[in-house]
Amino acid sequence: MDDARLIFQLDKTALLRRLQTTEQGLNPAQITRRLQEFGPNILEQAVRKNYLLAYLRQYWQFFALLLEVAAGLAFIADHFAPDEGTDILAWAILAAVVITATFTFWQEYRTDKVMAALLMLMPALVSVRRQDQTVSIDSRELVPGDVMLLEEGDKVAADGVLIEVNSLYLNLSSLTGESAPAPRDLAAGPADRQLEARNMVFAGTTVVTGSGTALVTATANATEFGRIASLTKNVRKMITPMQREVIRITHIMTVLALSIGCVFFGLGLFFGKGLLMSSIFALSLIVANVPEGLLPTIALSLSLASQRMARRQALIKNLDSVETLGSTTVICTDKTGTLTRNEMTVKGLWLAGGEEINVSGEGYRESGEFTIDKENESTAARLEELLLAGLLNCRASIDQDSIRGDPTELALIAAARKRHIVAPVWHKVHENIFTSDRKMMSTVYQHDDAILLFAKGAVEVLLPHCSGYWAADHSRQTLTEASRKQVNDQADIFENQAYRVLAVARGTSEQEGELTLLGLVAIVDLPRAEVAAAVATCKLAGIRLMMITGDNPRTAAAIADMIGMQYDLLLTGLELERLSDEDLRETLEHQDVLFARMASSQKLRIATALQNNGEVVAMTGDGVNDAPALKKADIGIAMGLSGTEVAKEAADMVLLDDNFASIVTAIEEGRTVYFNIKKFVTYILSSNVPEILPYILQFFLKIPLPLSVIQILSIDLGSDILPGLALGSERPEKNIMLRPPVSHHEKLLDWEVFKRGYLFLGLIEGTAAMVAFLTFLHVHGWQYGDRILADPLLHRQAMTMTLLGAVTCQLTNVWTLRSWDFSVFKLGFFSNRLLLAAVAAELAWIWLMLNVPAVQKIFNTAPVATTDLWILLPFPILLLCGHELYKWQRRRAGTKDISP
Amino acid sequence: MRVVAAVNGLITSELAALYALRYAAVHGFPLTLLHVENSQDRLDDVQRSMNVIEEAAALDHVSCERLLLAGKPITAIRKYLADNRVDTLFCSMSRHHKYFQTSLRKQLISQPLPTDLAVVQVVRLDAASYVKNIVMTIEEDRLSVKKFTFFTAFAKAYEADTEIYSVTLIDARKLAELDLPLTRNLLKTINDHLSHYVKLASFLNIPLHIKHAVASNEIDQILHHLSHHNFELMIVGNRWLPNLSRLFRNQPIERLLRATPINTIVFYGRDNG
Repeated sequence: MDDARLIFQLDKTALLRRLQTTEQGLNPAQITRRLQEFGPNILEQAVRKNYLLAYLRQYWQFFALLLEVAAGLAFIADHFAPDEGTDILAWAILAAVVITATFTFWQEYRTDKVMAALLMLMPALVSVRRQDQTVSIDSRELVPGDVMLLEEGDKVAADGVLIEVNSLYLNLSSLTGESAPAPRDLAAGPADRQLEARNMVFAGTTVVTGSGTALVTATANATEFGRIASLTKNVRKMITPMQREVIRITHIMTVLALSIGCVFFGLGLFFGKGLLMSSIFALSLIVANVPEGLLPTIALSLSLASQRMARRQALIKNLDSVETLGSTTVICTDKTGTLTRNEMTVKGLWLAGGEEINVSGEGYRESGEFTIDKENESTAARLEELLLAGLLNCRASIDQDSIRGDPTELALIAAARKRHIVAPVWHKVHENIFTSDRKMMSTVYQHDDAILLFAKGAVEVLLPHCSGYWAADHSRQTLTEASRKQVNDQADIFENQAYRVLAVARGTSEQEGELTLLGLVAIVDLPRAEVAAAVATCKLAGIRLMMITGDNPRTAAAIADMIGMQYDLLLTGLELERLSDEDLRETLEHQDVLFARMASSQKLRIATALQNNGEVVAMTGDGVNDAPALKKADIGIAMGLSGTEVAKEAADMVLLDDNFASIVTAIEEGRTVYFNIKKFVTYILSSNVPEILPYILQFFLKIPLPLSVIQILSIDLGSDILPGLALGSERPEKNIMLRPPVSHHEKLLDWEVFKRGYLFLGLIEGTAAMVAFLTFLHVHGWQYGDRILADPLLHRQAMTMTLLGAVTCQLTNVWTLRSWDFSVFKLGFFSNRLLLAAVAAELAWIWLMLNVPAVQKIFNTAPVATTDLWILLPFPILLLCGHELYKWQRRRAGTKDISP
Repeated sequence: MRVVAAVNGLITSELAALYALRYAAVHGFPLTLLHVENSQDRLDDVQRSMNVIEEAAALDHVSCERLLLAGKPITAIRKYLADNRVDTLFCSMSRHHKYFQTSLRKQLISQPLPTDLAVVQVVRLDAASYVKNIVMTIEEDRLSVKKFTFFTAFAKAYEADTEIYSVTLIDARKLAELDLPLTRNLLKTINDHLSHYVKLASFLNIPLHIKHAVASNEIDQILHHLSHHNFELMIVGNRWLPNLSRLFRNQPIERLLRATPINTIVFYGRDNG
């Protein structure tokens, strides 16, 4: 039987044999053949997307097809009746299709860049040894068996097993999410999996410091990095509630438009209007029923919302996610950096002499004071010795422009700076690195002829290396069982307060033995100031919170208590592994869970379980291995400051300040956007009635055509767009975060929207338009029964009155719809500046249609005498009063559905 | 009956032959290391590979013989298979795609052979020796006894945990409409159909799990599953497909083989044609 050990468990000889290579590297023939066997070292994309096809597909959507057919019919009508102006109509419809298609495609394109970000982590060139020569090659030419040379700053191009190592530290955050440099060794250590093996290097990671030589064991998709890439690209996101609703509205409106069009086409033929006239008539009704402006307005409104959110530190990448934020029912959040500051701070010290010291000042740059309990004349010297020991045993650095290194070490440096301690210039002889097994590190210095060793580490690990301690009188005393117990008790006190505790010691030889204990350091990553309030807001808003952290349960629980986060159950990563998917779902259905000691890879499982329970999940993450979970969640939230590019690309939203409070702000904005969209859907629907009603009446009554199709488009794609957008930018209503999340089952186009839009506001507008048309004609001598007017100018003026009837009502409508239930008089008329600008623009638009010949020619309008405009006056007033009464009645009835 | 491994001196063919060796050892078949002399393969490399496999065969107490043939490889192999009683032919495949050259693998699968064929895609050099988890992917409940036997042979050879991953293909729209009772019924039917295999595995003392997925794209789903679990070997079944058909028919298996992160064996049963 051949050697059945894992590849990282093999010794060098067995490894070389297994990989059929030598320390001198492969020869050209082997390289050529292996390149053929294993392929180039490129991450294979599962599906290569054809963007041209993706763009063209936008023209094959339900809504687009309908409008394309309408445009086609308009062109045909123009062919038979060239003077009707239907060619302009056709071009206008096509323009609407192009705008909508381009918007939708752009959103898709933006979300499809994760692979590009992944590929950025792979180096272009890599140093290898081939035929005993060091050469720099294109990383795509790397093959299994190659001897890969690694230097400080290099990106690793493939997975490999180390055969030479020199103080090598890797940044594995792209795989593990752990940003602390991971030391590498020639021995694998107690590892069952490759990722745990300390003698392995991995593609997509970087060399922080040191150097090494590795034998390549896997390339391309077979690497650990390739697995993550595969996970990221194969996770499929569910359709967002907004997309679903837009599709639903589109379908309803299209079916409605087609049905009405077909009915009237049949009626036209039945009443002998001829094929051409019936077609044009049906086409007009279809165009009148299709809210052409809806999709661009939604897209623009979401875009504006995303800009507002960016100003509030939440950068939205996928526009549809804005609305999904409003439906969020669960936030799964990281602890470090999101709930906390990600700045470890030394808050307490305990000197081996027995003094307890409190340290003020948070973070790395703030100054602070040391408050000492039981101080004596030697306390200051021993305190400074403790701080100096910590400072000299650090790889991290804080300078004017940058902060680099492990957060715990940074906390030690910051504490020393608070005491104005500067590291002396001593010769650094050696460093015994920190590993997760050793749980301690030490640094040896030479000062004159003396050798000094400074060590820090976990109390239970470092204490056995100590034989003495600095007593209160600054004398070295032997560490007895009683004094050891005292140290352990003090460490327990600190740990129970959620502090990370380090013991600090010094020695006088290069050996990590016979050390003198200097004291204990209590470090904590404090919660951000704004987080507690944000957590309380979530509670009021009916949003469940779950913390997912790699930290130990005690620290996680302590932070949860500090910020007021309530939970029913604390689960560790190991406990989660033991739960079946079904059990996990059940647990998450009834309980808020605090997840501690979790690996990033477990987030995907949690997100899936929550989604299967019907929850809308917002999930935070920063590492490359968070990318699958970020893609899977309904709202993936990446950290802007500490997040990797891959996480940012995979996310729907990037928090520019890494702050949890910004998520809650974004949710508030998302809810506002949802309700605002509902308002402008109502607004847009209500203008459909004055577009349809004239056609229906003209069909059944003996009256001239009250409104042309191009005038309908001038409302849908012209005068309605800006006010609609202004409605989309309404500020959050006061009680927005006191309501429960927007339900999955809640529809944008529900009965209330339909009733209010079509049957109430729409009918008033339709009546206004027809009354304006008929009254104007009547005033100017028209008699009922004249279908064709002798004076074309009079007809155009009358049609202009119909148009004005609809537009003036819409102008009032936009004000009253600013709140679904509350009076517009309470909102203040000047609180939405965009609305003021939109109204001004609409008035300018009306003026253009009335006074500029070129515009009149396109839109079939004509100037109307000011004395005739009185006809329009009663209806906007009626609409305003009517809608305010409607809202008052709803408030009075105390309807449960007071949203938005 | 014997097991034949095609050896061409490449590291992947050597590893494919090691899989063949394990398979032969379980069934007590002798192993024939077959090479057809040609201008592309270096005989030195071929002999060295054969040495390595023979060494391993000796340790496994498997009788092993070398066979060097001459002539056009596909013709020589077909003739040999026709004249001898062969259980399974193992051959490796290259990840490199040659546009104007049909590989031996493609020539082999273009017409049914009088034997089972196992095409081995090696992407990890270490995984031929160390196999603790094996997965076999199937479409719904489509699993032949022959394929199951092939799968269990590896499970026994490596004493590995095994999983059958059943993927039910469904279009995106229907997938969105699937509710829990419907899905439950669907999976129950598949489980019922596979239950005798579970019993058989239990009888053979092989730990077997069945997992299901309902997906609109089976390859994406399988890749996702592989990325998420620690399998060292995947076994998939496929059917013989003439060259011409391959040009016109969708070949998801090719995409799977291109993107798989673990060593994969594609099994072609002799009577599947």
